[in-house]
Amino acid sequence: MKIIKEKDILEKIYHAVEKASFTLDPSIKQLIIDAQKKEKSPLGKKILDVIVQNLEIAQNKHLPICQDTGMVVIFFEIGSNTRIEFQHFETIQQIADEAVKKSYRDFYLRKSIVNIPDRKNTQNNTPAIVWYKNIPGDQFRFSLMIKGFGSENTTRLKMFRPTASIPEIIRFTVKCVKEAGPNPCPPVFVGLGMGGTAEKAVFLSKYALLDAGQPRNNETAIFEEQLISKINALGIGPGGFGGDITCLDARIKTYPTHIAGFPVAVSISCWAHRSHRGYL
Amino acid sequence: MIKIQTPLDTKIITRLRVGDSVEISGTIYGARDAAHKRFIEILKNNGRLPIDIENQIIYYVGPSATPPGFIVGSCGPTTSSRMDRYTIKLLEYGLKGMIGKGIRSKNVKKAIVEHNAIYFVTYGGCGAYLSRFIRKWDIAAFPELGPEAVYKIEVEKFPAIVGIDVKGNDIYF
Repeated sequence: MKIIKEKDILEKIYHAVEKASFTLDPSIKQLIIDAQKKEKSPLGKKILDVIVQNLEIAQNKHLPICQDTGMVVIFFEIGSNTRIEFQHFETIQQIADEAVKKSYRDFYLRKSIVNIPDRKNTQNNTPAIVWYKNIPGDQFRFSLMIKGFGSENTTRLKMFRPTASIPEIIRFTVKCVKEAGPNPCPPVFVGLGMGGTAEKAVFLSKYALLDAGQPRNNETAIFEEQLISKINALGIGPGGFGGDITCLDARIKTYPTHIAGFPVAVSISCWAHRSHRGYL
Repeated sequence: MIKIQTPLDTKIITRLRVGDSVEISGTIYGARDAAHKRFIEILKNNGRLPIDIENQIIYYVGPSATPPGFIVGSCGPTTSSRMDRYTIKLLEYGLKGMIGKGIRSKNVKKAIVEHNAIYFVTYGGCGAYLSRFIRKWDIAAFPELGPEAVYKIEVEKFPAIVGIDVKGNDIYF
């Protein structure tokens, strides 16, 4: 049994929030730099130049990449052979919220979370959205995403007929990006979740975004590449001002579903796709 | 590059065309969703707005917190379409310009034409970059709204692009 200390989890999340808010993962930054070389529209190229400058200023001056420092989404993977040694808290959610609270205060991030229904600001950007997955072994891992709501507001769910074809689903996904237009700050990252139940499909679409910039899985690679080229053919371009690059990456996650249905969800991330992985 | 000074001059605004790059200098106001909702409630009750919007620009912005030694944190534009339902009334009360990102509704576009107003767009997600064009950043009203307060902002050569001009030409269509 591996013992995981509360303060180690707290510290890892605290720094993951910091890291994600001020710098992009190198694989994500590389996709933007590649786009800068490929984009032919002068205004589109200008937008990408400013985006790259923005990344440099954010890193050098320690200013958040974007003022929308998001809602924090954390996906935990917790090995069966681990035990968390709680000291001040009773749940992982509480540890995560404490880390979020501290990092948003210490790093001058925007506190954007409000209570429902009164929409009063919670003043510390908590609660975080926390998901758990039980895995075999003694690993304790997490992936954290800083999710801005310009792109979150463009999330779509559609319950397709069970006989719907993959080309139909791809057309729907492309249509979602078209309708989102300039609002989610293109060039975007697209996550497509297929199968499960309604909420599972939405979950998968969000989870898929974490794969952006990583090596592709053979089963879905062909559809992901189709999505990228069809979305780029929309011509929305950087900033939505027209151009060749609308999609920096598209990722798909699937799950078995019911004979009577085919839930499909699309999540979009802005070009500032801020995520960080950690393990203990 | 066209230089723009606030308060806006209708003669200059009329000459701007969609896609023109501009640099804005002077005082602008920052306000987003919650502040807009309050503005409209005030106007409905025949009250006075906490800021004078006549010939002014509202920037759709909610900055990140200000670190010590900085004027402001990151301060890029938020999605303008959420303000559409409040914009027409503000244009009727003399608002002349807006800075944001993304599409506006047909009705807002019509009102922009009707009032000889202008919609600028700026770099989405580039709040660190845009903070370099800010000279002063003060809370003008509703401090209790936190990042959604109304701000009085001094800008110098703040970069933007004409998104909708006085003729209703739209950069996104």
